[in-house]
Amino acid sequence: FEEAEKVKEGLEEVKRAVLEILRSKGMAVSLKFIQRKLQDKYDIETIEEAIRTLLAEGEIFEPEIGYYQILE
Amino acid sequence: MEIYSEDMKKYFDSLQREINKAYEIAQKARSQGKDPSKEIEVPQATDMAGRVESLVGPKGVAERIRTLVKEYGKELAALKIVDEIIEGRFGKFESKEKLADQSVRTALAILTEGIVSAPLEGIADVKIKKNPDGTEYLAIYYAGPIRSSGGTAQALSVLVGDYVRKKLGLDRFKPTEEHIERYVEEIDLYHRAVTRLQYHPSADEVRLAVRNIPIEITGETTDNVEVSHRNVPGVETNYLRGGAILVIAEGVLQKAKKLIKYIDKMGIEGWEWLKESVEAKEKGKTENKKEKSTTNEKTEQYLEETKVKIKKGFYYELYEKFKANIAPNTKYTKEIIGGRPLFAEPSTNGGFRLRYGRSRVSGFATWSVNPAVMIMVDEFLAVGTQMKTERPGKGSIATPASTIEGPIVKLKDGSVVRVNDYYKALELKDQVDEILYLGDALIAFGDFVENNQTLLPANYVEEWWIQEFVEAVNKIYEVELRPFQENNKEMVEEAADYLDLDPDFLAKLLYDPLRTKPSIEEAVHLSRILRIPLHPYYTLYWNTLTVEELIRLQTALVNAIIEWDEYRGLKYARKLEISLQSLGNAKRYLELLGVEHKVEGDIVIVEYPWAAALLTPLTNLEKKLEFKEFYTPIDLINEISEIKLRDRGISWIGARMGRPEKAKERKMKPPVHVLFPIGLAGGNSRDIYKAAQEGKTSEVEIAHFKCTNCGHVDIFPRCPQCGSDAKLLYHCPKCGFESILDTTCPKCDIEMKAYKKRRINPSELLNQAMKNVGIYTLDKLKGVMGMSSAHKIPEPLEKGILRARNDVYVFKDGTIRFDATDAPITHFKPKEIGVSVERLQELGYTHDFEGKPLVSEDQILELKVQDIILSKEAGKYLVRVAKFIDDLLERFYGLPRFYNVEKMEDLIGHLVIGLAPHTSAGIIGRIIGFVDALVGYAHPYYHAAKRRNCDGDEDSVMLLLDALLNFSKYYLPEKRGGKMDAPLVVTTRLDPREVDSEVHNMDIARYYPLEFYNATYELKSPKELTGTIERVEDRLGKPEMYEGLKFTHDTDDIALGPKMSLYKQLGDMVDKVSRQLALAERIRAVNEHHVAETIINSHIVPDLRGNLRSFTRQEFRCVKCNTKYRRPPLSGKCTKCGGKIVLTVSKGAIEKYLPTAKMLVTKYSVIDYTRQRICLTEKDIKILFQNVFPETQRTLLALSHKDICERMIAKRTGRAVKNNGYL
Amino acid sequence: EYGVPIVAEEEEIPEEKKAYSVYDDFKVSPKEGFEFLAKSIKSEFNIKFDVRKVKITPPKAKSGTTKEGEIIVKVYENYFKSRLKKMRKILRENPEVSGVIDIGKLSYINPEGDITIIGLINSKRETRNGYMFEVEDNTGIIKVFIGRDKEDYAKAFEIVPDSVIAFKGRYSNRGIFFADRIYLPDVPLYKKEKPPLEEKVYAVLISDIHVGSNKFCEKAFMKFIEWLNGHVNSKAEEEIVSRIKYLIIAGDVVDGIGIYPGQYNELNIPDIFDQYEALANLLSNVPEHITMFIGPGNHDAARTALPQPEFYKEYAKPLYELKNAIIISNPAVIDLHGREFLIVHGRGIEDIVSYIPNMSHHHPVKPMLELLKLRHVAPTFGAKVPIAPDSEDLLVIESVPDLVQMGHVHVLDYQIYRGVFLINSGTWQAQTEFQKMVNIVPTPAKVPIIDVETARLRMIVDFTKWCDV
Ligand SMILES: [Fe+3]
Ligand SMILES: [Zn+2]
Ligand SMILES: [Zn+2]
Ligand SMILES: [Zn+2]
Repeated sequence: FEEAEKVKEGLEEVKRAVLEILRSKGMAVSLKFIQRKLQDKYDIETIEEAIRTLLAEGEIFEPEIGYYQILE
Repeated sequence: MEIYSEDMKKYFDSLQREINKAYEIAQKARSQGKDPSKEIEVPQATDMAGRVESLVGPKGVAERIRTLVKEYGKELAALKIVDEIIEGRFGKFESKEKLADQSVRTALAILTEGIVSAPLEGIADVKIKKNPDGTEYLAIYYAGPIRSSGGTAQALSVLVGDYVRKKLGLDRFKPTEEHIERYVEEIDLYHRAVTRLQYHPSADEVRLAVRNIPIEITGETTDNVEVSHRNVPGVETNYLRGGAILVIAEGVLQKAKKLIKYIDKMGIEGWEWLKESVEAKEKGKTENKKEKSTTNEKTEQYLEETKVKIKKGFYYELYEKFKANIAPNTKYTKEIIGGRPLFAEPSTNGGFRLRYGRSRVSGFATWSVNPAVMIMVDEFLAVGTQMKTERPGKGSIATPASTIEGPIVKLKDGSVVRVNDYYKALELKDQVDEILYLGDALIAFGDFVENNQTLLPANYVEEWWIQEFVEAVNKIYEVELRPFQENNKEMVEEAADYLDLDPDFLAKLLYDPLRTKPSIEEAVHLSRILRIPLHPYYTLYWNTLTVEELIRLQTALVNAIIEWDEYRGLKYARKLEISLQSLGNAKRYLELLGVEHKVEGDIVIVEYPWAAALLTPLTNLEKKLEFKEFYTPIDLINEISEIKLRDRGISWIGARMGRPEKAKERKMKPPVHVLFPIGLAGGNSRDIYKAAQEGKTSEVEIAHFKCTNCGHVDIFPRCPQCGSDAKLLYHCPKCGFESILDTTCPKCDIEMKAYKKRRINPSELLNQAMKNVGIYTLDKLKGVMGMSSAHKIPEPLEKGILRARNDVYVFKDGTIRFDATDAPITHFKPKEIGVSVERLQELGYTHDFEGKPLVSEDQILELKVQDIILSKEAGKYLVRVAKFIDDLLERFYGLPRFYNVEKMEDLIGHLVIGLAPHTSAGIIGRIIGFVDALVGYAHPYYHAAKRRNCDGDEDSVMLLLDALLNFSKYYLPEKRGGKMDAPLVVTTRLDPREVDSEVHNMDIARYYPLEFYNATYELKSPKELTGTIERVEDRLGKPEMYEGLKFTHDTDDIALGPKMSLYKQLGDMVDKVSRQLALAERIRAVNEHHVAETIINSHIVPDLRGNLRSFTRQEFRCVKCNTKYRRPPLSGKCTKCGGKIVLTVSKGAIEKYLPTAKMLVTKYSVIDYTRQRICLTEKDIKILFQNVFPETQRTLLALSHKDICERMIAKRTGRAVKNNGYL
Repeated sequence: EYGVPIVAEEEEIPEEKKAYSVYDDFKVSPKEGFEFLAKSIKSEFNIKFDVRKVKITPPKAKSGTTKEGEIIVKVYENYFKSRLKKMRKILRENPEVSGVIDIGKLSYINPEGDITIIGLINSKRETRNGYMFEVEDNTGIIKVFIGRDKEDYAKAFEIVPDSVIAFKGRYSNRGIFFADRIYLPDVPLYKKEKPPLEEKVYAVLISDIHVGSNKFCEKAFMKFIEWLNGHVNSKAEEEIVSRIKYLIIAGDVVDGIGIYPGQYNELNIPDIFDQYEALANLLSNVPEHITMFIGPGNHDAARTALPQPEFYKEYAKPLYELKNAIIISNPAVIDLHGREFLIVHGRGIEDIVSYIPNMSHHHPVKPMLELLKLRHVAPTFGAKVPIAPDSEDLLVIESVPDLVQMGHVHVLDYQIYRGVFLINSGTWQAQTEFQKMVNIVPTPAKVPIIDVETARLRMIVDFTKWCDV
């Protein structure tokens, strides 16, 4: 449970980090760039999961394959 | 401080070594005494100071000028020199007048860089004269050639004169009222009767100036036009004094503002009046402006108010601002010459599209265009053809740049094609129905600075897009890329990763964005994810349409059959098909957009990538465009489309053809092989050989020489009897006294002449000369009728024999010239100029312009400043000249051959002198290659060193050794202007600081930054951006002024394009005008009716009327001896020689353009006034001869009903009857 | 009702509508009750000289291959021969001109004492001690010198190139003729009295109307026409108007088109047909009993070189259709009641002004007088005045006129010389931009009235105040 909680918390953090990047750019950004930015702190799968979740939650969208942008 | 790099020093040293070699050889030859002077008559100068001393002296002044210029700058140094001359530092002068004369000339020479001939020829005399009250004043006598020094220097010469006057303690000039009114009349008369003055001052301005200028500005008669203020005391002539008029109007008055700066700088007193007058004028102007600006403010306020209610589109507002601030300039269209077409009306959509930049062969008043343009305008444009332009300057020549856009044309089958390639243009040219868009004109920022032309909004182009791209990548992905260069490989890879591009492609795109284009899918992708405008290549001319048209187009396209495709999940059109019928008017809209399409049967097909370029901005027809007031099509699109557009077609520039390009040997009329007089014995062609064959003798005026050893008198500077030196033998025309020492007769106190009438025997002279050089056959040998030089010393016949043998011709000064249109070049590729990499390495070209070692013929090299690239035509001729020089060395001077050339490549590395008309200082150049174009390509600095820019000027080159061996001042005509265009001094080392300062405005950047493009949208003055884009000025005084110059646009080949303008290949006027109008009809940006009207009014009517007028006031002339008669002698024969009297203006001359005129007023819709003018002129011509040729009159008057004039008369007089009937 | 299709008329209107008026609505009729004495005076006029009446035969081509140019040279040669012949005749009427010897004979006759030569002036050059001329007749050329000390020295100033002059003096063996006396053709000192007329009759002289110009004083000209119709201001004028029987117009009746560069912008009527139409509309209001004589000038649609036979009929048709107008040539001589009026447009004035010192456009009568003394309307060839290739010189003033009228310079000016009345008739055009620039001040809308009997000025009627363009 704690594990799961930790993971969840970790995911929230990555989501925040992703959102932070997207917000600061204010436009569509390449997945590869997000990965490169966050790869020191988080592993690739988590980042990808965070993005998937954000997409599902309607926080962000994918204007072009491989590019993500905040939904305003 | 060192101003050369090591490389540059090596270059200059090697030039100097070659120069020395030539001087050594020439000195050996000349010391033989076979020429008028034993010394070489072309002294070397390394700088301005040296040239000044050589041109006008006094001896020893050069050193002082160098010192003083360093300390005080050029202007003040000129005055300091005056001080020193007057103080006697350079020796005593025989009179105050001579002192004044020397001072004024030297100072003016300093101010004009010691290049132009104005200080020699522009000042006829300097005198000290008396006012009516007995006080003394200074008078400067100006002559016509003062023109060549330019307005500012003219004005400065007056200032210098005043300084000299004060220094000599003279009073001021006190003009009488009569005197003043004479000036008023003269300036006016000159403007009307001679040439339009650039600045035509009001009568009061002239009065003010003459009253206040402390010296007398007077001069010789320049034009045979009489004034009505006659016999004014102190004025020697009742004719126009052109030099003086120029100095007052275009000098002192036109350049008043500049002059004031100098007055302050030089601290000259007594010129307050000028300041006041300028201030008063400025005030008047600003007051006017103020009035204007208050109304502007009002409208702005009004606009501000309305803005609240109405939102305007971005481009709508930009267009408004553009229109309000920069009006079309129609000046260049006021005159259109028959056969020289108008390419585009002023500021008209579809004309030349402004593209900012400088190619390797443009800038400095030269435009580059895509060579495909030259083809599409029927080859009226060739490399080097001059254009008269709307802006930024008045003129330019055209050179090729293949990296800018060519024309967009509609073919006869209705298809539209973009033609960016020379060979494609050649293929398509016969199928063209309409030139929708003429193509780009690449115009340098520096030319905008030079002409102080407000920047026009930049059209969207690749070099702008790449910077927006780079900026976006930097901002979003934090990768710093650089355009127009090779980028770090890892960084490119990273960026490519983010952008989903191929890294190699990205690297190429960055390095050469002009030649590398993304696909339409990539372009749309990049525009979306980077939020940058769509790549310009895929941007259509949306704003050529009106908003209504755009909407109609979108509606029409709904009926199209569209093939869709997908890229990265996004839809785009691959192909669009629509029938002409459902397209309707919208077919024209497609054409105006410039979108490529085909017409097959009645189906219009838009293929990849153009279908997407068309449909993407139209939201793939998913959203409907709605009309909005105050919006342009692009504004409308940008509001609904995710892909934003920038306008690719805001700024258009007009131009017409000026002079055709030129590269041709110089021949006098009639051509001359040798400056030797033959009188009438040589016939019309002055053929000495013919005269000799026929055994004729001739009486000519010719210089006599007396042997210093045996006393033999003959016509050779070396005694033919004993081989000793002979000296000029002067004789008194009155008493016959002869002397080799005096030039004034001791008995009669008059000037003695070195020449005398003498009967010569051509056969004897020629036989001897032929024997001397071992030539025993000859076809012809063209001499001159008589000599116009002061002493009438002829050239040795041997020189002529050798020239004739090599088929080369001599100019008035003894040199052989090749003339060509000046064209600028800063960088070249070995393969363009036909030189091997190895040879170039020998010449000092070791690295390309990016610093890589030279290994390939395709690399781009930066041209060294004194290297020149000649036309192949020049090459062919100079080979013959070199052979002549070698023959001369070997057979006449008995020296070894020097050039040993067989083909033009052998000339590479050899030196020439470049020299322009109106100047007297040449510049050493080195031949490094040849191009197949009729221009003389050289570094802009090199042209500036000759005081030329490249707006269509031409000048000459001569082989260095030719000038050193054969030039002599003794050959120059004695008349005013005789010293112009003669190599009186030669500059050996080019210093960019001492060349015409216009070139200092040339920009030398690799690309213009974003800041520049943004500034153009604000219509900024170019002066505000001078620091932003590097220009020559920014490097003066540093070693970088010689090296590391850059250009913005490359070209595949500097000679790509037609070699010769069609103009030069057309026959009579009807032919010329027909071709010109055929082109006018084809170019969308040209109104052919306007062209027809302008040709008539500016060329044909003045010619017709002028000839008609001069026919009835013409001179008559004797066919035999060419004596002119104001009217025919009563005896019907020449009273001098009994020859036949003929007309100088023939009947044919009046009539020659009439058929053309009639054709124009018949075919084109000109205004009635113009048509009537032509019809009246036709009648005038017929009636003029009614009593001479009554029979032909009858046949001529029997006109057909198809005749336009008959028809007009019938219509007009018929109607009059009808009207009367009604009344 | 009259079968005029309405549609067609509608279509015609926009086409006919012009930005300018051709004065077709200007209508004046004689003032009611005004008594025109001139109506009852018998007309007595005769065109004594008109270029069109002279038959000029071109030289015969020697052979079929003779070139155009050769014929033209011959024509010009004949032109000057004809001048010399006519002038000799005039000069010989002067009793002081006697013992005339051909120039070609001078060298071998070697005459002693005073002799006279007559010839065309080839050139004139001022030297330190006097004037040197080159003089040519059919037999040869000679240099003629007149020293400063000679009583006739001042006359040298009046000699222009190509005038015909008689010199009396001695021939020196050095090939120079030293002249003591100079004889210009001139007019006799005294004129024969002509028989008086039974009744006073007046002629109005005008010129340079320049209809079509935006500086044409249309209001003033209309006032003038009204005045001719009896709408006068005073009793004195009434008497004059009533006796006006002739109106002479000496050229530049319209401004023309294409006469100088940029003229288009200074025209109200930029159409040559309409200019003449406009003028005819104005002149159609001149009372019928007044006979008009209308000649061309350099602005008219007429031959551009002198002499000018007439207007081009196809362009000036409305003028030819005026009932009471007679078209005359430039120059022309009209005999009015036995008085000879020489009517010239006057371009020759230009050459005199630029050649003879102290002449100006401001006082045109002075150069006019010089022309009269030289008995030629435009003596110098190759200067400003274009001369047509005609075999005969029709510009010689062959008979002595009673009155000389010229125009062209737009300044009213007059003078009497040896019984001849010289007058320049001014203009109807206000100062143009060009005239402003060169400081020419015209005197528009001043109308001289001539008493035909005396051929002198009777009065000047001034319409200047209506000239406000
Ligand atoms: Fe006139
Ligand atoms: Zn000797
Ligand atoms: Zn002597
Ligand atoms: Zn006139």
